[in-house]
Amino acid sequence: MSFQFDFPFARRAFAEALLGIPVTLSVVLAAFLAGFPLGFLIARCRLRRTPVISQILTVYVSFARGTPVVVKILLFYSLLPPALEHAIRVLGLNFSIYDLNPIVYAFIIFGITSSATYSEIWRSALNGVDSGQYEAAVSVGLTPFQAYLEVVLPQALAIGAPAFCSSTLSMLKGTSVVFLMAILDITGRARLAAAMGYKYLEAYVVIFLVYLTVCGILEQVFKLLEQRLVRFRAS
Amino acid sequence: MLRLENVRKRFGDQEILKGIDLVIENGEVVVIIGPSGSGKTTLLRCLNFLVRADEGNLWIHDRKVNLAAADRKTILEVRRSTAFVFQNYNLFRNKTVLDNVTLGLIKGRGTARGRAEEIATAALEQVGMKKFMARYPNTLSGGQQQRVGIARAVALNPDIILFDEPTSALDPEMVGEVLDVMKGLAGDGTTMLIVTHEISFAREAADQVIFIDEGVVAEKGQAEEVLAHPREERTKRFLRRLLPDSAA
Ligand SMILES: Nc1ncnc2c1ncn2[C@@H]1O[C@H](COP(=O)(O)OP(=O)(O)OP(=O)(O)O)[C@@H](O)[C@H]1O
Ligand SMILES: [Mg+2]
Repeated sequence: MSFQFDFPFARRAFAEALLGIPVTLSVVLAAFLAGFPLGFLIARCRLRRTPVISQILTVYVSFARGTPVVVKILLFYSLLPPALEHAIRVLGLNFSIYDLNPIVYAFIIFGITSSATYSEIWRSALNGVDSGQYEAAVSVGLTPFQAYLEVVLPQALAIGAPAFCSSTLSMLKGTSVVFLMAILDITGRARLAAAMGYKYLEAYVVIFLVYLTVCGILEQVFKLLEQRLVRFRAS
Repeated sequence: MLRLENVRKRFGDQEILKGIDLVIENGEVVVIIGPSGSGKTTLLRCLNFLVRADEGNLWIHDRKVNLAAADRKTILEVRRSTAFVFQNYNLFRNKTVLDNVTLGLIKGRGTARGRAEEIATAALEQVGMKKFMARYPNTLSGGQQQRVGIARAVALNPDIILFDEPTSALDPEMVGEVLDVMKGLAGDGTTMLIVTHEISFAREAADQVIFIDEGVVAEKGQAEEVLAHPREERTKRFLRRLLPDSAA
């Protein structure tokens, strides 16, 4: 096996991989938009020990967190389409599920996973806000909702911010498995280029560098956001 | 006038408040003393619905409120005509000193921001904290935080301010500055219900002293009378322990 690194090919693969960035980011964004508020609601229900719902959510969270994303993808991707197809046929709709962009599955799978991960962060963050803060807020005449909005939530966000950032970054890296569903994200694009040129080493180095750069940039963005958001020290 | 009638509260199988009655006239300063665990904090918290009483009534504004069964709206109304000063200050950590004081005015009472800031500035001036307006609580000393806590209560212009051991979390050298602010309020005719172990403060500022022991009012009367000439044996014992070198 010769170890000739083909730079011109790597450059082409790099350009190709860059095209996958919006796809990768859209999966992360969709998962965040769904998972962040859902995670909050899950955390609230579990902290309040709402009967039944709280137990169901505990099971949901441990399933969602206790199984690798790859397994969820393989399972969903082989289970969901036939099931949906059946449902569509029963409903008599004129629509083929196989026309559906597989990225929708990625949104669902990562939405579920991140809602569970974020809910755990919300839970410890909300727990980290001293109950006296809420009591003081209602004692000055705020409604419970206002007390949450003005006092508890901003402090919980500040406490959870580092964990929210790092789990979002690891989710971004984790989305690289969506190529299994033939989605052309960063990994998918580069693998496609590799397969066409039979140059896997170059493509993998390219993938490596692209993730490194994207994560690096995102980390800086998060840091700036955190600084703007949290002008006080939470504890 | 504010009146509490037959306030009862149990936690589990422990009866903490066993039917407390109490009357506070407008402008009066009432000090509650009593041993640790006797239910003083619980009583204040019941009055403000931070703890839900099992039984009992509150008369405020000639209106009778059932402490055990009040609905959301009533609770909000009671909270909006009272204010609470906490033992550990509980200033909002995510808000500046000024915003700590204006929050209840703006969000709770719908006061316009400009007006709220005027009121807050005056209240902060009164407690000597005006120049710290832009600071966050964690940059202040305990005594300074508690003075802001008092300004936050005063700015609301409530019918009564409830104090739960406002100086007991403070380093000794800061107790004086907070008590001085409270004496100022007493002089201005603010109605206050104060749980404290500061007997000399009570002697100076209180109109009425109430001794609570094991969930009941064991003795009450004029401050001078209860503190200097207690009738009940357990009041005497409590005061002796608190003031080992006094004649009481
Ligand atoms: N949320 C609660 N759950 C269970 N027990 C409680 C709760 N709050 C208070 N208690 C109990 O009620 C009793 C009275 O407490 P409380 O805080 O009212 O006493 P206190 O007179 O304020 O005492 P201290 O002088 O130490 O502040 C204590 O035995 C305490 O353990
Ligand atoms: Mg207490």
